[in-house]
Amino acid sequence: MSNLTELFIEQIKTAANDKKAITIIGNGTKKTLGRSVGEGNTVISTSEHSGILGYEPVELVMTARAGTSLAEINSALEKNNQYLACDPARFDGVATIGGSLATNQAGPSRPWAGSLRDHVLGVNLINGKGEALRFGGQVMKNVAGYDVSRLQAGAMGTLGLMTEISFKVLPKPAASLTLVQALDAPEAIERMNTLAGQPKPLTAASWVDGKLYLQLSGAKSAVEGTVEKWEGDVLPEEKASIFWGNLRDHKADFFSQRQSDKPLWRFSINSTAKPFLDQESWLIDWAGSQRWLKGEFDHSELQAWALRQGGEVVLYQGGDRLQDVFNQPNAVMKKIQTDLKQSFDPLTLFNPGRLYSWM
Amino acid sequence: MAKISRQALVKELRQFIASDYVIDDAETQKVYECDGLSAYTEMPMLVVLPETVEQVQKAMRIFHRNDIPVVARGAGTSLSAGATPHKEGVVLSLAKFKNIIEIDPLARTARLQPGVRNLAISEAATDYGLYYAPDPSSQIACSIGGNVAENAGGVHCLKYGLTVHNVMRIEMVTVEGELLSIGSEGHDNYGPDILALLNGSEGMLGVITEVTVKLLPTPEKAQVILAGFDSVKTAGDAVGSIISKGIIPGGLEMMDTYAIQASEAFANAGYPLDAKALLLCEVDGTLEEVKEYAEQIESLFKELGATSIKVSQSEAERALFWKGRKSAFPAVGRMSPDYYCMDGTIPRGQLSYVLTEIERLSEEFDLRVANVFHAGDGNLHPLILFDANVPGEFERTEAFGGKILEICVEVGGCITGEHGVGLEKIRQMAVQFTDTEIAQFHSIKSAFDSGAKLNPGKGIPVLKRCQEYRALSKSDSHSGGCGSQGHSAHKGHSEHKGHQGESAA
Repeated sequence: MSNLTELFIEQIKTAANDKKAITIIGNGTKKTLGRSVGEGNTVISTSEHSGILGYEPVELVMTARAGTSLAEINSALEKNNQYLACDPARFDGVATIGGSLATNQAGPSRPWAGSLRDHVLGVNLINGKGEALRFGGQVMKNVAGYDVSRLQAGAMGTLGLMTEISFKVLPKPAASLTLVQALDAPEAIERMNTLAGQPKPLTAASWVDGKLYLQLSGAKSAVEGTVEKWEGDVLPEEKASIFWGNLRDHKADFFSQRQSDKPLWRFSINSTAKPFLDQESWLIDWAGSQRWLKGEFDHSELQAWALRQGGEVVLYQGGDRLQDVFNQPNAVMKKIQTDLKQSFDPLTLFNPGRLYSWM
Repeated sequence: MAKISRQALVKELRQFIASDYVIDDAETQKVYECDGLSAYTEMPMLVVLPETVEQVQKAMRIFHRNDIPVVARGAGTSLSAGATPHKEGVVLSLAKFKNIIEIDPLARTARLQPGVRNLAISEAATDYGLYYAPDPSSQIACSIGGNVAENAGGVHCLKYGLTVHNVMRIEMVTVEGELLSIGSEGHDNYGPDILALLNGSEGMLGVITEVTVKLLPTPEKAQVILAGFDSVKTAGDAVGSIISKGIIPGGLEMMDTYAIQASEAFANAGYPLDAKALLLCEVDGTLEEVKEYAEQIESLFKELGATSIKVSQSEAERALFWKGRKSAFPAVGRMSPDYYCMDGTIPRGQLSYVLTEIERLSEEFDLRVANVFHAGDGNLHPLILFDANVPGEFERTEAFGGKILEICVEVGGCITGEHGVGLEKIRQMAVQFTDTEIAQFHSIKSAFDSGAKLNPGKGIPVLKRCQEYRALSKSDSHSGGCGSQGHSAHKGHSEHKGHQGESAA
């Protein structure tokens, strides 16, 4: 609950002097994401660097220290009937806002509500030279200078240690209902995409265990009016809330129970892509554009398919995590990424190897 | 200095680009001397209009080999002198890239060449019941490549986001002439979000040659509630009250007395001429939802003491209400020989304070000002009225504008919400950022363009100039020159006509 920025600067400078790499960690909920590296690193924890620093409900903006838990953030928002619209995975509430931004989290409503990169307005970060920098701000629109705040989304802490984050919050929808309908995967994909093209308050569309789940949220009249027109049974409110929460936090049976020792692959592709392999291996979210696959597969074969579907695949969990698990850029982009990393972190202190074996 | 003569360069380019599209005569080049901010002019060494991506790549390789600065240009509607030529450089116009490559109605995306006009996207998507959400007021003219370069906004940002929220993939040509694809047909990619970095990078990191955008279903209905208030403060409070009710309107605009009167005289939109502030609040969505929200907002405005309320009863009336707002810039322009549009962003709660300060400065600088405000997202557009033919008046206007931007930063806002820094606001960058932050920007730039040949002199100031500006600013002088090398900012005043007829968000 205190400001540890000065301590962090000192720790970074010490690590630089000692030529030691740094592992940045919050509450450790995404420890397994990325490559397994970091043994012997200096560990800098943002866990104690927490607290909401500013929250103006009417401005729709909150500023919090990077180590602030989503439980604390959500509870403050709840009191004002507001929420983080992109609904990042909470992992029992202990996930931090810093880690959530560094891994660019988003819940099932991603195609409509965006991810944290869409809601971040500004960050304070310490670069590899130990300089405390501030980018963006606390206003909705800001195009002065390069967008360093959003650049952090997905960088997994390789560009700096984020200390403070400002982000946009929104009023909670007045009503929310979930429709469920048994469908096979190809039909579900077609239907999700067709419905997403209609001007109705659709806010999530997922296919789990042979059923299509559609979440409708917004004005009460709009939600109820749509439920009347669309096919499917209304899922009782409590069940719906558990369903979407479990999907968001990877607690659905697909993630936690089934073949839990098998590698988990995550695809980010064109939402209309026709499925391949057997249906049971898949969970389809984000109206078709995020797809999860369980099982032993050849990474390059999956990548070739993902590429044909206009996207990428990552080895999300399990498998050989000493190899590269994320999508590999081509030589031109590799050079840009390497130089970009250098520009923030010339001594390669932050999370080396976590994102890519070569960076 | 370039390693090649203009003559030799022209010859080399004409080997693969149509002769007419390699422009080296002053007369034909003249139209490229400025963008929408016509106070800044410069003649380039050369203007090139390639027609294919391969031509762009080939040309970029030649420029790179010869150390030639490159200013990429879309429709030239920038309001921050972001596309002003470099006198030793080439203007690379993407005007020939006008094709909509593909619309995928099921995936709800459009693949576009960079020269496609913003409005043309929605026009092409309308057959599928879809549209492209960001709508800068220059949308009839501005192109999608420029929208990406400036991270353009519009009047629907609070609900639908800026360009960055609506772009999925970009193809760009690097300074070395390599073709890169960034982003995907999916929603995200692991690794640093370089797609976001490119949005709003003002042509300083690469030349955009293709853009894939998201399309949204066209709402069933939209309705505008127009309300007059007897003070800016009451109108500002009304904005807060709508949001406190949990309603995020599609558009939420505010105008002050000057802007109301000018717009009404221009558009006959039925604006209340006695009001001190006007709110235009648009709700969109399903038929049921629009009815529910419009009623709530109307009664809220009544409770808060609105002096007049009108709710649009037809699409024609809704369009008319917007016509006033969308033509506010040229309308204000009729009140004065010239006007200068500012683009600061502030926390909404600071509106009263900022407008009071602007009023005070207006007296101090002896220049009139009209205010147009994207009230939903805190983006303020003060329009300073001046006469460029009066010696010193443009300089006074710029100084006044600079002061406004400094106030925006002081209250926790920023110097530009959607128009970009360009040449225009480069001095104020030193107010918003420290030297170490600006140095960080320069090193980011180096990762893409180590020789600093892409749109040099724009966006990010040279550090030495920042220190000078801060020192000058402290001593309350207004004549800093941060980063303004390589252009002659205020040339041609006598011909300057503001940007009447042009309109930004």
